[in-house]
Amino acid sequence: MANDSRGCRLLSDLNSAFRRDPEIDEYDFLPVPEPKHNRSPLVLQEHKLGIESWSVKILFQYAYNQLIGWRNNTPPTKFLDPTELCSLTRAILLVNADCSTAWNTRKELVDNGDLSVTEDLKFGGLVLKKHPKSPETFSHRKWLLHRFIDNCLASSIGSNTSSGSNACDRFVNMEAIDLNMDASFNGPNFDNAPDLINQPDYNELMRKEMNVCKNAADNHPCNYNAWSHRIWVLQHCFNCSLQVVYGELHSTEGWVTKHISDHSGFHYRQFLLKCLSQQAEKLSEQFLLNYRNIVQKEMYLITDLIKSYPGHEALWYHRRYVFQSLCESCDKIAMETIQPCEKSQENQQKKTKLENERQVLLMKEVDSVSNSDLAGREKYNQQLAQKYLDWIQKYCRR
Amino acid sequence: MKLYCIAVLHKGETKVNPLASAHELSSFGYFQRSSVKEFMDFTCKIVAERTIVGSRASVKEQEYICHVYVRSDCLTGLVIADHEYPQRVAHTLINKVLEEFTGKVPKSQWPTANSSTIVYGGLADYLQKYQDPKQADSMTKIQSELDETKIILYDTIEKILEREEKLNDLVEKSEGLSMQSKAFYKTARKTNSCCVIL
Repeated sequence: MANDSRGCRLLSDLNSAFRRDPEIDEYDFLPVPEPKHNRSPLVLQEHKLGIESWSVKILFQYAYNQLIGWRNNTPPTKFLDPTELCSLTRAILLVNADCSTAWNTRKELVDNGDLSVTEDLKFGGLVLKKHPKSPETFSHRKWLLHRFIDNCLASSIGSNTSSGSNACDRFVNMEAIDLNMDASFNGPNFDNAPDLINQPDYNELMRKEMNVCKNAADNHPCNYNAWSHRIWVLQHCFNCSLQVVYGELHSTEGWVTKHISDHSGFHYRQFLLKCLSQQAEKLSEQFLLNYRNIVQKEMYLITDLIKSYPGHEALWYHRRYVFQSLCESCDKIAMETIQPCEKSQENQQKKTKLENERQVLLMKEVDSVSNSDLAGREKYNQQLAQKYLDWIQKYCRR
Repeated sequence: MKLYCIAVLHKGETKVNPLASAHELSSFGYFQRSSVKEFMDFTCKIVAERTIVGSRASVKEQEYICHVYVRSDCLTGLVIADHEYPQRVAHTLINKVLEEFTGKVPKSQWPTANSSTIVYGGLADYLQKYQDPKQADSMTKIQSELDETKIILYDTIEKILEREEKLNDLVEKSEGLSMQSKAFYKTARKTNSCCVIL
């Protein structure tokens, strides 16, 4: 078939482009519906790869058919070496990032040692530039990261444990929080393993991973898949380490301020706050940070954003979460400060104290919203404010 | 929350004369930038042509909004931003730019000059500075500065066109759009993809 030889040539052109420039960091399809000259449809400038659109279908179909033919063993004697498999799957995934067969083939290549984890992560990062939401790409990354963690653990078992630097993590300067500081990695799978987080390779790779998530979130509004992946990395690669979580809270503040209608960004912050709340004791013992203050600070952030940018639903929904957290945190403190006494008296005291604290919080919030947002000029914001107040009334009746 | 473009034009009796513009294209794909720039200039011209002298408007199109003010002396300022960028700040920015431009470029030049003959380099700075509305000016100050001229809101760019006009035709006929830009436009329209260009 004529297209077969064209496809073969296109694939070879693509491979040359990547050989010529291993640092390609972006690619796109150029709107050229018909081949106009007898030259290659590929354009390579400043590490950006352009592929003329007429050639995309031909390239894809050729690569895809080759790969499937090989997997089905038709024709029976077909043999493809790892390099060819690598370039076939690359061509397929650049066009269709959600082709599981291609990603799974790459998993086999990694398992056989023909493709490195870092190389494949780098390629996935490139794919995400054009397909920032691709679920299969993110799913493949999780597999790769698991492999990476397993390799790290395997190579560190039997070697010396960490350099005893845990002594200094009592008083940590949280102003300069960054991932190079020591953290105790206390997940259940890592009992006898040394400080994984502090190994420079590990650290570097995970930093890059967070960056990939951030870029994908930049490239597509409300990129749920990117933010979910970011949460996954926190859970599985950092074990929700307090330092990292707090650092993330700090570093994503600027991002949500610039993306005020991005629900997923705020949802991420809600996850971070929840992590902190679950480890509130450790937060105050080891890092001298008060969870309630952190929530209060988030409240200031969200009210300030609403004041500056009225009429964005995502902000009001985040406010609900933060206010709820504030109430729960208040409840907890109220419970803790109750004087021990007789059971029935204690219960009554508890109830009254809780109610009082809640009432105060509630009234302050209702006042605040009524004065600034209900009274404001922006009609849509008024509607959102009213809905918020309705929600508060319902919520605090529970 | 992004600002993509600021432009100053003169709305003459028969034609619109582009005078100065600045663009922020880093968030667009490398190969799309030149087309995006052309489309922004195209949009500014179309919107300026169809906005009445002495009025303000904000024209939405997909995830972009084009804010415009045609002053009574026909000097026109436009800002293209995303839908998060506060409308009032965009219009205040237009006011500032027009004021400064008036001070630097004499009125006699407006109908005929172009960006190569006039000396005005302030737009790029404004574009950078106003990326963050909070840093550029205090919010309350901004809200009170703006006069009470009502800002007309249009949901799509088609709403400002004449009854018989179609955007596709205007794109096709436009001299300011290169073949590649027109091709990008056709592809984008066909696949209905967002985040390409206007």
